[in-house]
Amino acid sequence: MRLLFIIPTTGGPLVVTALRPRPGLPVSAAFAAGDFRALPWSGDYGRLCAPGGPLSCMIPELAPHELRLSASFDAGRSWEAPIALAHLMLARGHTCAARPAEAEAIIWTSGAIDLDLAPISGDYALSDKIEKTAALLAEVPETTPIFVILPPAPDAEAAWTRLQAMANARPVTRIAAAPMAEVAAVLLQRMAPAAAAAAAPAMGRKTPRQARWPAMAAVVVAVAVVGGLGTYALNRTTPELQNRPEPAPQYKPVEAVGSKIAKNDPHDHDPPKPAPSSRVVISEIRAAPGSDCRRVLFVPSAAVRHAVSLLDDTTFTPSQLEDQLCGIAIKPVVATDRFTVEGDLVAASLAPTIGPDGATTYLLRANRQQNIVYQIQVSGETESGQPRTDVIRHAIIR
Amino acid sequence: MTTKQGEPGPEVAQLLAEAHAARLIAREALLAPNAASPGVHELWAYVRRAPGAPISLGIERAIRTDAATGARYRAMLAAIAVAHAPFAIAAADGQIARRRVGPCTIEILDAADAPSLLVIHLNGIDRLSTMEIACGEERLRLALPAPTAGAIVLSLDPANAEAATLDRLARDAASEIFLL
Repeated sequence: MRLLFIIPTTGGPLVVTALRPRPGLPVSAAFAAGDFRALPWSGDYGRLCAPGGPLSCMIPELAPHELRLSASFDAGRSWEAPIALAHLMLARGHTCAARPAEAEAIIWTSGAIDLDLAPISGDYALSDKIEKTAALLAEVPETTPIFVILPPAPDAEAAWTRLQAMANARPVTRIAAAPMAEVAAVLLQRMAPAAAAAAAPAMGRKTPRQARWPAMAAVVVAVAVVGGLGTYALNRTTPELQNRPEPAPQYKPVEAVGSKIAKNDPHDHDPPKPAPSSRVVISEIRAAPGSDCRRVLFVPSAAVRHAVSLLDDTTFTPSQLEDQLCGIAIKPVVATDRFTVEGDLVAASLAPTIGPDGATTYLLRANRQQNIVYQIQVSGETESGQPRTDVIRHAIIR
Repeated sequence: MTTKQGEPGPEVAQLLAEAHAARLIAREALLAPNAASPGVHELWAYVRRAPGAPISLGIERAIRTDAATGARYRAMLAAIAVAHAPFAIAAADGQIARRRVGPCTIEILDAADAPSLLVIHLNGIDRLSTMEIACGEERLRLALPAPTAGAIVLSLDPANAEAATLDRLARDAASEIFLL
């Protein structure tokens, strides 16, 4: 799928025109159109992609890349979120579109990220950047979906309201701010229905985009296969995988997508089985190597998060209650969804806190002996505006 | 004054005298080529100029046409250069993809669907600020960006005139490279 990644700046939006691996390059480098020197922040980009750097934790064997932007800018860290997301999406087989007319989806995000690729809260002048994006969005075809990830910022809600108004009739989806690997997983999930709809002649489109179908099918199959492998590997809980907090396998094309494909393509006799997807993301908070849960209580950066895999749409794989498990972080996939936690977790943990990434964190009390079984009631609306409530189950057992 | 039949008139004599004087001036100029050469201080200032600074056409002409001035300019440039290579050693043919310049290594990475990249491996040198590359009468001086992970990367984008020139010169084994 061809994706247009927008890098909004206060001077106007830039786009990623190319992102390609360059074997032999000692370090990743970023260039702007018309300039042969690397950009001033190319060194920071090189460190983001370097072996042992934040991106290489999510994308093993990440080769040095050449990044090309439509224009240049001098300072700031707002490029980090869109570039990290572009890497994650391209690692899943997508490609970059250089112009809005070529794109099959538009991705708009901004902000600095931390070592876990989670957005850092700050004042990113989102409203100003969105205003400056108006001309670019006007070039976007009306059927092309726009995905927006707004970092925690004072004007995030105002910016979202403005963007919705600006998008006019174009489909705009807001994805909750989260570590970029989770955002990429949600994007895959959200793009699959759009892809299936685009490929389905029975959906009432005047011009069915048959040309996209092989690419969409490949994405669905590839994601399902990766999901199956990921779930299998996570269930085995190998230490190697625990060191790679890649939550992608948990979020697969939603069930509706699989059924649409099966119904709409009579030639597809063996459609890929849809992987489970949930309306919340549950992550285990574990003490980093060399640290412990007491330290995590006071120094949140001493913790690492591992996404919990799904057994089915409403049940997560039970977690192991052990000393290194410090707590649980829960975050709705859709930013507008609300949830309440019922069961043992509330009593077994300290008062929940909401982190900068929007996840609600429950740090377990020190002397926990019993198994913790709890439910999460998620309420929100479906895409058609109907109220929808799901109950999701998870247990922490010895 | 009387003129005989067939002798040139006074106007012709005047023209011949002027042509003779002009030839003498031109011959003197050829006999003393250093008369218009830049002084040492001028040349030294020109060697140390910042990339992108206005160039002096007189000094450039002197460097290209006067062998002594050209040699002096190159000697000065080599004296302040961190690394210098007058030509590529052991190049099998005219096109090269990798060459050593003093302690540094210059490498060209080609790709089928993307502009080539020129990588300067610093090999322990802290920083370079300028690169000058020359071949024959063609000469290019570039400001270099800050290194990352011990290397400086330049894009040899054919759409950029300077980058296209750099691409052509860097591939030529006869090119002289100074890294400042």
